[in-house]
Amino acid sequence: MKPYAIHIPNGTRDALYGECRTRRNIENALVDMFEQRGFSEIITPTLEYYDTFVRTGNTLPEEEMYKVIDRDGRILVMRPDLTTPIARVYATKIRDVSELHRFYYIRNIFRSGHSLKGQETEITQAGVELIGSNSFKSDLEVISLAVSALKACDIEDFHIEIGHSGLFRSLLSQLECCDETAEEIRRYTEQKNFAALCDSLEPYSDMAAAQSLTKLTRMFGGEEILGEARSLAYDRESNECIDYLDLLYSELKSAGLANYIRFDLGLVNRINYYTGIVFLGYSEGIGEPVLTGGRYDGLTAAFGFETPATGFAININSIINHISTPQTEVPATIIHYETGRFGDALQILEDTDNGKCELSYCSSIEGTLDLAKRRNAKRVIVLSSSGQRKEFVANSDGVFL
Amino acid sequence: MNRLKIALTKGRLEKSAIELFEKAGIDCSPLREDTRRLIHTLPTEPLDILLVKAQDVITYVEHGVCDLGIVGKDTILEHGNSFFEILDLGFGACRFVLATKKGEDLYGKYRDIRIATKYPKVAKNYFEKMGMNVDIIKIEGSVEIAPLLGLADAVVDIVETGTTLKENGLQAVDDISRVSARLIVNIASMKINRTQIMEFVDKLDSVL
Repeated sequence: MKPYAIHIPNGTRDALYGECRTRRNIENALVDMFEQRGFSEIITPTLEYYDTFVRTGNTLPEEEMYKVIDRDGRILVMRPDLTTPIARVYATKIRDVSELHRFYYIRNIFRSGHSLKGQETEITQAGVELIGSNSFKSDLEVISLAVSALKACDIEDFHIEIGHSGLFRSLLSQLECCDETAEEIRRYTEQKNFAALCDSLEPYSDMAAAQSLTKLTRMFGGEEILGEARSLAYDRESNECIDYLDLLYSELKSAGLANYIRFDLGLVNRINYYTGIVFLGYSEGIGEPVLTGGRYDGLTAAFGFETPATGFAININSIINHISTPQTEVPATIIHYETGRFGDALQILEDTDNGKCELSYCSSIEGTLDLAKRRNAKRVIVLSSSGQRKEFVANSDGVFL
Repeated sequence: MNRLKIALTKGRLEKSAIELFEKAGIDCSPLREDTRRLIHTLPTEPLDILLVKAQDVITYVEHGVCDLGIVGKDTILEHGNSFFEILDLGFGACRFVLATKKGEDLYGKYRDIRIATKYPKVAKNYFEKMGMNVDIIKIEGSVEIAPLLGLADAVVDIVETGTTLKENGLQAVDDISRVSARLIVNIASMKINRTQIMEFVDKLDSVL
């Protein structure tokens, strides 16, 4: 038998020291912010029925879900996303249209990626869902929250890119093409594959909608895109989508967030899932979106109770992989205690005013001073059996005097 | 301004890509020197050129360590996942075909047929679309031999003129798809370096 015992599966990872600290700091900052803004944590099971994720017409391919068979022979999956379970909880346990419910989570999802492509299979996602309102204000709130959340993750040079699924949908519906062609057009738009898109739209080339669709692949950038997009939108529905984005932008701008906002009107990933605005977060130096979100008014209906909802998720792994992790933190103080002084040592340890403290495991004072030097500690407190307390402070060369 | 990194497929596509760049007024003189360097810095453009194998172009672009890449559609169909495929560069044109021994009736058999190919994913997708159940065997080179030796009933392979097929007694029975070199862009880089990338794209597009 091959010795797998010392390996971990492809796509998983162990984290140590600085990386764990960075991760915990980011998670704490996010939790503080979500809590402060009135969000409540929601915890759902890691394992759920396979049916739950199929029910929604979710476009995630079957082979990307990890499956487990339970005692009764039913198929379970390690959750591949967190929004679906939250929609399930809402539609089965809350069912309350009178209020907006704000939830947040920081949990792991599991996706069986391609082997040897460097993809991670266990990913920490931090996200929010606002369920129960289709208002402009909830879209506004969720986008501004996305900006704050990426700021809390301590990444620089990021932006949120917004699109509107209604625009593509309304243009596409005018072609009255079959599902297969529609999917082809969607895929080429997503890939910004201009040449192939033109080929697919060739049979419709005399229609204004087809000409607008070919232009969508290049409709990304700053605020000016909205102006350009006006020329594409000639019917009421697509004009409304652009009005909506315009209004969103002017509110975000008035809140001083304009620098973080861009647009991509060719944003059509998972178009059957999103029903209104869609957005992605990008950061300098990270080759994939760090945040994905949008409005998904149809999702809870899959579980028997229709409610509008919006939210986003941050891929914590991709952020961690690109943040330089701090060095191991050094203890400010090391406490050396002799027989009978353990209680006093614990008292010093518990006093948070002393900063980061460690107990010495050495039996001699020399040993402790040596340890303090290796660990770069600033101070050594010695509690001797005779009841004395001595303090050694490191000079600039790290020597204890 | 960031320096962009572009990964070129070594070999046949590399030559045509450099010709295209020069036609677009991009000085590629460092690539004309006979060196074993793998990364070349262009003197007049904020562009670094990397010469790598076709599959690696996709890997580097998907991970975002290269912003752009030039790679054949054949490699994209077999190994591609998520990036923008923004230009069809036209060169490196060939096609994927299904070919059998001359005179063989592929569809009249009462058993699953066996397909030899260097491109198992392309073959699998094709037969799924055709609604046929087939047994696919991966062969690393000269797949034409497999039907001749009786290992497979047919091959899915890439052909330019069809001469190799003909000389080995095979005939194309169906066209699967057209293949040529493509310019691909990392999804995040496209958004972050928009102006720079679109300028480069337009520059190439204008001489295509």
